[in-house]
Amino acid sequence: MSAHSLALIRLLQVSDTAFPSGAFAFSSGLETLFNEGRVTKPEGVQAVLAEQILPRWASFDRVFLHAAHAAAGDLSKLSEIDARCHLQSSSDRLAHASRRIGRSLLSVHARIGTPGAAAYRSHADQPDLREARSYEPVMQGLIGAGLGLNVTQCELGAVHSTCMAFVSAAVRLGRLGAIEAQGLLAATAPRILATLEQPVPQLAGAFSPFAEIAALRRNTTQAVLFAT
Amino acid sequence: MTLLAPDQNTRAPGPARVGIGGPVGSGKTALIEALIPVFMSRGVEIAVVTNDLVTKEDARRLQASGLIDPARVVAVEAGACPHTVIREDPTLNIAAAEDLEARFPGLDLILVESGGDNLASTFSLDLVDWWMFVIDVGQGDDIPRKRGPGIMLCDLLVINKLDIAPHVFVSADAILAEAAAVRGEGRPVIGCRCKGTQTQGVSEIADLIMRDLLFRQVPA
Repeated sequence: MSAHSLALIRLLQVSDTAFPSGAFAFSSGLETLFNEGRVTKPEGVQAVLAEQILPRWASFDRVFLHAAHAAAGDLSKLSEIDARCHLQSSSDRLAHASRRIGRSLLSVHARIGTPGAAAYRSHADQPDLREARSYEPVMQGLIGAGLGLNVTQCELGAVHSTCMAFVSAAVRLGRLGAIEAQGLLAATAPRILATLEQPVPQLAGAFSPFAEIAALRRNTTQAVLFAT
Repeated sequence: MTLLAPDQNTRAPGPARVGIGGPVGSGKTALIEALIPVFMSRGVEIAVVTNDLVTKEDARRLQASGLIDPARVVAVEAGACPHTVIREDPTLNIAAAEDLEARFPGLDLILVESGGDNLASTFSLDLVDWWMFVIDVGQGDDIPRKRGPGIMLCDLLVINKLDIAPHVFVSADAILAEAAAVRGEGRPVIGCRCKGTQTQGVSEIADLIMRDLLFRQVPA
C-alpha cells in the first residue's frame, strides 16, 4: 500500500459525514434565507452554494488552510495564522461557528492521536486564546498535514465538507430531498473543480453578503434549527 | 498490531459527566432543578450543559432559577438533532464540557441534559461516563414495555411524575415493577417526584450517581 493510498484512506475517513466535527449544527445563513423566503427552490440552494459559499471558502478559508498546512509543526506560526483568521473574520456569528467546528476537529484528532493536534489544542486552550483561536480552516490545514495529506488533498476534503454541510442543512430544513441533494452536488462538481484550479489568493478576503448577512440576521425569537 | 492510537479514548481526569436523556416533557430539567440543591448540600461542585432542541429555554430556566451560578450553565445550540449531538457527533457537547472544566477547575460533576427525544436516544460514552433516561407516567403505562435503547441501555431509568399517576389512570407500582422486569436484575429503576414540597426519589438518584461515579478514583 503506497503512502498516497494511505493518505487517501485517511482523507476519506475524515471527509465522511460520520466523522464528528460539529458541522451539522450550522447552515451558513441558509435557514434565514429559507425562513425569509429569499431562497425557495433547489435552484436557489445551488445558486447560494455556487455564488456565496464556494467563493467565500475560496477567497478566505482556503488561504488560511494553505498557510496552516505549510506551517504545520510550528506552533507559534500556526497561532499567528489563527490570530490573523480571527482578526479578519468580520461576521461574528460565522466566526463563532468556525471556532466551534475547529475546536471540535481539534478535540477529536487529539483524542485519536493525529500528530500535531494535541499540542495545538493545549496551546489554544489557554484562557486568553479560547475565543480567538482554533478556526476551522487553520485546523483543517494543521490536521491535514498531520494525517500526511498534501495540501491539494487537504483542500479537497475541506471544500467537500463545506459543500456537504450546506446541502445537508437544506435537507434537514426540509427544502431539498436527500437524493435531490446528491444531484445538486453532482451538478456543482465542475464548479468546485474550477474553484480549486484557481490560484490561491495572496491575501484572504471575503465578500458573500447575501449569506453572511443572513447568518447575522438569524431570528432568535422563534424556533430555529441551526446556530447560523 | 496496534488497534488504537496511544492516547485514543482517553481524556484528562476531570469531573464526572452524567447524561440525562428522555422524551420531551418527561421532566429532565425539573429533575436537574431538584438534584442541584441535593448535590450542593453534599459539597459536590456542579455545572450543567443543556441541549435545547431549538432554543436556549432550558438553560435560561436553570440560569434564572437561583439554584446555581448562571455561569455554570451552558447551552449547546445544536439544532434539531438531539440524537446526533449526544451520540453520533457529541463534539459540541464535549467542547462545552471542556469549557466548563477550564472555567471552574474544582468541578466534581457536569450534568449534560439532552434535548427532548424519543425512546431511541442513547449517549456516546465519549461524552458521558454514565447516563440516565427519564420517562414519566403521563406518557402511558406501556412505555417500559416498548423498551427502546434509551430504556434498556441507560445506567439508570427514572420514572418521573409519580404524583400524577392516579390522574392519568396509571398504577405507579405496576409501571415501576414492569420497568424493573424489562431491564433485568442489577439495572436500577427509580420512581421520582421532583416538584412540590414532597419530593421522592431525588436523593436516591443523587446517591447512585455519587456511588457509581464520584468515589471511583478513591485509592484502595
